[in-house]
Amino acid sequence: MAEKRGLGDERTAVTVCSPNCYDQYCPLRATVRDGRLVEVGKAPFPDHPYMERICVKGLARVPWVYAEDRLREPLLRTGPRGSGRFRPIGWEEALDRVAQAMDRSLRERGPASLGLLGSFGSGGALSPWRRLADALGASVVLGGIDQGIPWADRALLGGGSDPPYEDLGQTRLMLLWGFNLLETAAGMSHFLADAQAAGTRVVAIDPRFTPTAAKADLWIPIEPGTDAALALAMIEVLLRRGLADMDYLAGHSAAPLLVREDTGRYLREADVVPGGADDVYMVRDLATGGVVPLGEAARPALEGRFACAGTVVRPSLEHLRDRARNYPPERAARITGVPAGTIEELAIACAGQRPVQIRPGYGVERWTNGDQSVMAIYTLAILLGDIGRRGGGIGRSAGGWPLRLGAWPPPAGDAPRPVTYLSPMDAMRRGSPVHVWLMQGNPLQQWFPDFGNTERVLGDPEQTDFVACADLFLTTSALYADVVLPAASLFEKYDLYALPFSCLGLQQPLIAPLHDSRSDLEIFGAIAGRLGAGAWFGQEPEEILRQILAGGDPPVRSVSLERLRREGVVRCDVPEEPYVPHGDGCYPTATSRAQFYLEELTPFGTAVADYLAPELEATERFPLRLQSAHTRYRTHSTYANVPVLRAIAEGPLAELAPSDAAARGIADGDWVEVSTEAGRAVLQARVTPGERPGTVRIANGAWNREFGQGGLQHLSVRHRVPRQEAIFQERGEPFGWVFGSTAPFYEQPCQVRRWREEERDG
Amino acid sequence: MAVDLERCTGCWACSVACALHYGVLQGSFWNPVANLSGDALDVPTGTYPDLDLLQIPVGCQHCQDPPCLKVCPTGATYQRQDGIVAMDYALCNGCRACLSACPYAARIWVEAGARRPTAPAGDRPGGVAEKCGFCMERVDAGLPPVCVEACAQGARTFGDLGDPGSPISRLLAERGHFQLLPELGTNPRVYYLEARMRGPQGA
Repeated sequence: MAEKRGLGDERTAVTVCSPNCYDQYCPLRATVRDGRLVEVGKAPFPDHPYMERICVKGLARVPWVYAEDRLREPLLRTGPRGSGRFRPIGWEEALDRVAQAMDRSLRERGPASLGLLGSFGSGGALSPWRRLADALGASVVLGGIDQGIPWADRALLGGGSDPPYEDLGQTRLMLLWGFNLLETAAGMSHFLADAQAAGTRVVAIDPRFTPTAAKADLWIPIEPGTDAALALAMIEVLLRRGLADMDYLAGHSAAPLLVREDTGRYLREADVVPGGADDVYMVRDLATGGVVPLGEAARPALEGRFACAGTVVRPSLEHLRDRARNYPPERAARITGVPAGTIEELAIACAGQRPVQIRPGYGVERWTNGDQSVMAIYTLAILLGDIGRRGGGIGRSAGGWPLRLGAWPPPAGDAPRPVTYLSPMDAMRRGSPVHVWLMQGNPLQQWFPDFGNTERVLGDPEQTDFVACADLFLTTSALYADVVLPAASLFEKYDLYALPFSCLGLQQPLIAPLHDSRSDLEIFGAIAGRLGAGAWFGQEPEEILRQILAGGDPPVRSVSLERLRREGVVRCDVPEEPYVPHGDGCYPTATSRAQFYLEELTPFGTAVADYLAPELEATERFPLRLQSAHTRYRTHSTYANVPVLRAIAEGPLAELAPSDAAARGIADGDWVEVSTEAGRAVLQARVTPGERPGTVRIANGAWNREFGQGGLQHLSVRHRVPRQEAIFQERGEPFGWVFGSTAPFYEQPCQVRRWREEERDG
Repeated sequence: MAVDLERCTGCWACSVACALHYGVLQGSFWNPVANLSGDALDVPTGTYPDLDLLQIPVGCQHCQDPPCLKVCPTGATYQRQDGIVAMDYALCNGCRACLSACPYAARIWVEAGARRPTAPAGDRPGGVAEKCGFCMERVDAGLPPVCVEACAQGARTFGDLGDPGSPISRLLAERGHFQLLPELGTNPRVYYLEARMRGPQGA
């Protein structure tokens, strides 16, 4: 065990704080005295001090573990689903009931009737819910959010592009594009301060005056949902003024690749030469004037239009030029609210202060047009030409040398059954195959839009047979369960994570599971055993972890479980210098180049990114836009019940601009009703000049019980975008699933009015 | 102690680390973050988009001329040789004169039997007026104060102001700084290093 004996029976160990923040996982120093976790803090890394990080939430893990409302024993529902009426039962009865319900459904309706869900706040490599789905061939319910940035990264750049934070000092201009770094990646905030001290200029593009905007060198407020128009206007300036990096575009991007006017597809060798290859892309060589494969051109042309292969062809850059011409700064100013002069200056500053690094935030993409916003921002990064350069590029996370953990293989002689992938919107509707729900964590709170619909489906005996949930607390999801299973905390069980800066981190039992809780692994293993799939969970956690380490790539294999037990978080055997994504000039995309023209999106008219107006239009009835935000005091729905954090920021508030509040007779602290097409919620108002007029904001993660009535998801709408359904797919390992379209959590038209206590029963 | 407001983001990590280390009264902090620009948490001042947000941690200022010491009738509040304004909780009779005297609201009144989020470090009975003691037991053991260690941004510097070569003395020599409520003549030993001016926001 990673420990250092101190005075009396006290030891310290390094573990992993794993609530799924922006950079997901952090090292945490834990002090255990007489079997009790007494303090946590920043874990020291004398050889790599930049890896040391801590935040207000991680520091509050002790009262989180020992929270009064920590579940003490398994619970059985005694009132209607969601009523909150339960009675304690023993583990055997609880597990029997879950397994019996699953077994009955398996036999009567088939394995797809079992809906299995995890959540990213409660599990790493040993997270068992997905494995149980493989063992049974159940339905896997996941996605519906945060797919745009990873998709754009894969589709345009081939993936893995996140620039490392430790190289921020090399960056001259940083665009935090809808990324409230100081709140959502608080542990990384020292990198921003260090970079600014070293001369990096930080520009925050955000509708709201966030703590990050307050620290930026320049804050550019923007009409939310219009990011693509701003990016395309900046591209217009770069192309019009000749400021785009033409050497990069010719040498590393698909800009010279010829596109057929008739089909919108790239011109292949097979189109030109009988028997030519279908994966060899053609360009026009200025040296000879001929159309040749990309690799054979001395000087590939970036402009021109001519007849070829029975159609007309043009380099893909011409298509981007056409698009950008539609967004001169004057027009973009009317869409985005950013003055044309500011757009022009920002684009010129980007070209003159390289390397430029862009860090987009997930809020940009929680829109019906979010895929286009991130595509446009990634396109801008390609034109700036700093991808593959130290300090430049684009990405969302901490970066680092790539690590690949090994697999947790199926038991001998067995193989995963085909599972059914369902997005939350697909799974939670009438006619969905799912009739039994087994959840690890609190997904109903976080991923399922339209809670009124969730309640209807879960309350309909035709649709829902049984609901079970494993968690530490009676969260919103657990509240709707028939059987609640008390789960062990991260200090009470084993798990393994890949951390930023090319590290691996081990969670191991530092204290005994509190009350009568059990690890998720044990819980799901016991259910599997009752369903005849016990062999899938027949190993001790240490044995599984050894397999996962041994099956990893060389940096992962360099770390032994014994070393992880001693040190907790270990930097793998990787080079000391920062990893530079695409520094080798490799872009594993379809064209093997950085590409802004996606031929597969031709049917949608968005082969080149476009600004599309949000599909959910503000109306007279719902004239405002409801947005959300993540604060530094919570991570999603984790920490909602921690008193020391609630003492700082208690419950959810509807944040309103003073002008919008005044027009409705609302004062700070008033109770208000927020309503959308989907439903309503009652909470207190916060009137703040930091909120953009026309928008209302409720922080993400509040449990329904924190609202006067309803909750945040009572307000979110179910709305599908066919284009997103088509493109948000992971192809191949490690996921291989379909996510479906993003829920437009930041787009919903809404109204706000004062609410009076006497309406409570009315 | 110097707090660099260029680096401080007002995140409350120091406040929470302190409150949990010392088992400060549930819901209270020895070292809370005060919003100097607006009324409520994280609320800026101004009119959109011309806005400003300045939030700073304010605990005991360890005044060179502490008003709380002057009004303490029992000698529970005392000043160490190194300047730390400390409490001998065994001597506190709970008169609360220091709560009224402190212009920085740095004192917390704790009823006997009050709930604490964690077991309190040090010997602190109920019915006393608590405050930050600059982690003097840690300082004496060569450790940094808890708030210094908990700051992800490295905004806090603790050291010997009497030594002109110490990092904190050099910082104060190099950087513009201020004390809170200097007009009162309390002469705090907590210094705030000024943040550099930003250009006009909301361009």
